[in-house]
Amino acid sequence: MNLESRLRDALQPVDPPAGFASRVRARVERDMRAEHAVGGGPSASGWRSWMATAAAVLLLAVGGYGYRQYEERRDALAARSQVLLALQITSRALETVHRQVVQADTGTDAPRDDAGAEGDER
Amino acid sequence: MAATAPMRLDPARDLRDDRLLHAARAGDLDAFEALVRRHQRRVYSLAYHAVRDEGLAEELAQDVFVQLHAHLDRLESGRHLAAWLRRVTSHRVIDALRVRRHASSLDVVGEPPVDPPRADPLAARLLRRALARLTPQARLVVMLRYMDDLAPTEIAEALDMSINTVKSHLRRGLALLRARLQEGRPS
Repeated sequence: MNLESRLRDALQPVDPPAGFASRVRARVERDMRAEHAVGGGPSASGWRSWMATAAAVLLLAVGGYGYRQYEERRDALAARSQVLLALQITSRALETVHRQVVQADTGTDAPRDDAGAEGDER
Repeated sequence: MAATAPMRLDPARDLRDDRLLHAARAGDLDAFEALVRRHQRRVYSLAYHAVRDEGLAEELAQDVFVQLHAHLDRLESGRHLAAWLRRVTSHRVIDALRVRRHASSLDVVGEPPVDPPRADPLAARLLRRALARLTPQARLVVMLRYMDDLAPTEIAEALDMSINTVKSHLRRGLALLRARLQEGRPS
């Protein structure tokens, strides 16, 4: 007989001692009773699903808060750029007015040719 | 030769396991006990041949089935049950052998009180002693190969090893067993 056949012979299946399945069942029943006695709280898999739910809720809350912060920052930036734009427009308008005032002042001191011509036409 | 048939190619058995699994999931303890009876021999044999100690083998096999009861929801079908049991038993056995190695440097244990008749009792005893001197992983690889007729790919899956590691354990394990058999044989 070669080694492989000898190994198969030496490793033939062995039956467990009598009553094995009943003892397993008794252990399972005992564990189930102990689990209930603890207060009917969730089992290991129950705890895992509770933890997963809690983590998901926390993630949603943190995510929601973060998104709100982001939106507020985005709105603030938009408002700031609008104010800047308004200030630029105002500044340009003031500059135009200022230029016109300066031109008008200059025109009073030394009337321009076109102003005079305009007056003649009238 | 009473080589065991592979567990994987039996659709009728898988179907029966499916029904029992379904009932056990619904809380039917009779169905669960029937599942235990259908698989106890293989689980116990793997534990027993690995640790060579009836008490420890029963404890390990019981732990496997208690774990099965806690994981019934996660088993997809009866087809997966045999592989799941083999995998969990193998890992529990390896852990137990490691603990025992730490506890005692003498890893060869006595013969069981009752043993099935063998074609060559002396060779069987020498082989079991030689097997007990292999590392836990090598022992499980050799056992899964010659108890369950598993292919190296299936052993690799059951033990979370690469195929090359499995082949290496098989090659070296068989060489060691052969050498120890020759050493132990009376001339």
